[in-house]
Amino acid sequence: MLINSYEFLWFFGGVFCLYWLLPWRSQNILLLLASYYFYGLWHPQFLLLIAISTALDYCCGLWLSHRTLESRQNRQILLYLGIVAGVALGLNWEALPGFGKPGPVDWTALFSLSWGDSLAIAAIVAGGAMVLRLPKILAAYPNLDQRRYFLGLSVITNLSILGFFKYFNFFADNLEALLRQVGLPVESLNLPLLLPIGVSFYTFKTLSYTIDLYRNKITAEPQLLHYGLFLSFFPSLLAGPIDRAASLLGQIGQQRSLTWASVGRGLFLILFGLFKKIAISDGVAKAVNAVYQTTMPVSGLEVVVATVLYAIQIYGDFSGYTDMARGVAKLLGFNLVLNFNLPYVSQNPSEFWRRWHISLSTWLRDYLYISLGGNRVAPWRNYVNLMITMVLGGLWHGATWNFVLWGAYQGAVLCVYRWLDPRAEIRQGWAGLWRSLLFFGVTCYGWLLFGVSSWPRIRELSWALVSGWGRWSLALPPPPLSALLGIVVLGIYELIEHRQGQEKTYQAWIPALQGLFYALLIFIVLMGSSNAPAQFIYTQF
Amino acid sequence: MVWTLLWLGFLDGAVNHFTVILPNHSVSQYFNYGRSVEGKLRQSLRDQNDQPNGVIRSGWLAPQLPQTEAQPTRPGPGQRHLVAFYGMSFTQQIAESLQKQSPELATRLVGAPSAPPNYVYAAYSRDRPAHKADVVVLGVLAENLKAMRSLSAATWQFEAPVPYTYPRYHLDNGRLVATEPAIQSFEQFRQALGSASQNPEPWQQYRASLAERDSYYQRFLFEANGLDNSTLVRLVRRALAQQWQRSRAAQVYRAKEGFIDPDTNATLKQMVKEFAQTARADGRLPIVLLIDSRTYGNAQGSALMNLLGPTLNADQIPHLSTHAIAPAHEPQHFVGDGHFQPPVNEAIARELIRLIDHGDPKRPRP
Repeated sequence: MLINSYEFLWFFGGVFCLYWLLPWRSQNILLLLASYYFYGLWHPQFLLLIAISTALDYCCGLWLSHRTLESRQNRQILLYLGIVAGVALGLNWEALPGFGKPGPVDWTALFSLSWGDSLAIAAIVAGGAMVLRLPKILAAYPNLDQRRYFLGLSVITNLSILGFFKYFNFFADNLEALLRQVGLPVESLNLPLLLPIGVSFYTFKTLSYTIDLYRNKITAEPQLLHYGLFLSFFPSLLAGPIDRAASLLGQIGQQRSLTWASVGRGLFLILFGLFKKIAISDGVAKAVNAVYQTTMPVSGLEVVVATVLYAIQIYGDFSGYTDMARGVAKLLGFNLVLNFNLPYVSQNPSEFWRRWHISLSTWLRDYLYISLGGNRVAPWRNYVNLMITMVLGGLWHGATWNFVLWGAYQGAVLCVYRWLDPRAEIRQGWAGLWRSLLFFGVTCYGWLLFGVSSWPRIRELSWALVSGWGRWSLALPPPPLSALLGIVVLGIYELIEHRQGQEKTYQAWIPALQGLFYALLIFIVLMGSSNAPAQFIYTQF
Repeated sequence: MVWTLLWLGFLDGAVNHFTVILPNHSVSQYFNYGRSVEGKLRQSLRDQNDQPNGVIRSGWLAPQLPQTEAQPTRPGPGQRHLVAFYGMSFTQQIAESLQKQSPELATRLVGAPSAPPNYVYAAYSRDRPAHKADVVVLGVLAENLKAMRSLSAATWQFEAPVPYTYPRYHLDNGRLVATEPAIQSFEQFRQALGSASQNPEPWQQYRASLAERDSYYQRFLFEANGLDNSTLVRLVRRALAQQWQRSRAAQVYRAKEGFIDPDTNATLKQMVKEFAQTARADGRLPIVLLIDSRTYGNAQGSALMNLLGPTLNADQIPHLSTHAIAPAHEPQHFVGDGHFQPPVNEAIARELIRLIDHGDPKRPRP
């Protein structure tokens, strides 16, 4: 279920009411069950993958801290794996509400466990039991750097899961094409794999935990429940933000409170996110698709308009989702990290990556770029590090060449700007405005590479930008009124926020003006609620 | 909170005032989309009552089929065939293209805006005795199969409802049986709705019949009340209407599975069979024109052809799928409103001419 759907409204309404009636330790149990239910609705078998990551990294975390697991903890892990495997494989999810079936639970059809499912469950639990024996096995090798071993185990296992489901077919198809190119006969290597939704996000979350433990930046989480909730926390499970353990685990382990201020803030974030997603992003999608997703010849002007609209669409879509996720979390007493900070006012790429998808860019900086040496190396090596980081960052978004191209483009832009302006100064006034507009144009071309998945179409559109200026009419479907009004309201509000330099700038306004702002957002959301819904772009990564 | 509510009330009133002083402005029309179906029909009746060609009068099957007064009933001098088309705007455009390319073919057009198959079949059935056409073309539009579970175009076209009605068909012992709507002519409609405040019974009976037999009928969306005066409620209603209609349509068609409702599928198959049987009994060449709307097909084929192909082939019913000429998954074949590009209409018309020249495979020419 999508976070902007009526089904989510019912789901979260129920969770919220029950949540604040429970004592705080039971709250965490409720959130874990709710998160697994939320994730299982997408595809129940993928609960196994998140369970494997959870169990493995919970254990590796404790081992990285030179701690041994108690028998109680061992039993908890095996029980946890067995239950999740049983639910994922043996439960008939179509008998549950929310799985496309109206009405209450169909108890007669709820369980269907075959012999194959039972064997699979047994194998998973047995595998878990074997992994739990690793410290004893490794004790026989006193010269082995156990911490490095456990870090490696975590990194390799998680990246293997991510790599297999997300990139196997990409590499297989390309290898197949290459072999055919040189004349070798080859069978199709493609597997019928489904991409587990959210896998890119929770994999990076769990890796940040084990890497931070290895670097002694945090202490290990002793409670499996808390770690499981950290990884599967449903507001941010599908599309981030990628919270670090130091931030989110700490909040899970503490009592939370709900105040009128936090309710107000949470509801505002949800409203603002809906406004960006429903009114603006979904509204402009048709005009963008008329250029990006067709093979019709287009003019340079149409490419420019569609690309600017796509820049607005992807910002509205992604920052809208993040706002809703933060708002939902706020209503549960949690503070998730800020993920977008007015990215389109950026004057250079360094500033852009401090403002766009902040949780991912800081992850890449802390765990990849710095590990490669960062900028504490010779300039040429610094440029190489930037390119590697950005290309892999592009590949993280999806297993197609246009994302690799987008990553390479972003890397090249970073290198060029660093070469031209090493200190990346921020200018004020007209000079600053001019730089922001210029950089916005540079960013927009990157979005063209990001949004168009077909290489021939990228070529056509890029060529149209150069030579397609013979026609000045627009054959695009115009965005609906909700999107046009929404863009104006959003633009004005974010300019004010930028001038005042603070995120919650509306809270400083007089009540009448605040009321007008909320009323406009509600009104425009209602206008936009009749736009055809589009899937969240970032839930596809 | 108080200020928010006050401002929402102000915005609601301000937009309403704007729609009153500039009712024909596009912004006013935008905010009118969410008015109840009854409310919009009343507005149309008031605005178009004196217009003989108003859209509110189009499509009614009784007392007389639309447009047939001025339509030819037999081929004219120098014309070898009269081709009777039953359908909607798509068939009209194709028929016009056919006439241009082949002036020796006369055309007779009977249809309604966005006519679903049950309307088209009912129109064909009622028109049978009224002409001497030797070719009859039944136009089946893929995106309108969802409306086979309705009795009026007013219930499933929420934003711009057209009030004409048609029977709903179902199978009984393998034969088509029609459930007729309670209102069948424009005069009945005008009398029932126009005088609903003085004599509410006919209109209430009509609403009750829709509630019972039309799967798109939904009380909050259809019935007018004081909430029509609120801009905010109209916005909410419009969004709910779209969601409702999507959910109804998804019971009939899904992109991956195709047409999935067994009752609709079986009824349509029997419809094309009985169309061919009756046309042949009248000595006419039956042609089923499968109009594959945008997105109702993919590289593997046409959704309509997948559904009806076996029936058409088994009974050797001449047919033409537009997907073969203009694949439904290729948007360049369509204009912005979903109709075919003119060259596509021309190509379809050429294929139809070829089919007409080929004749009926069940009745080979001596």
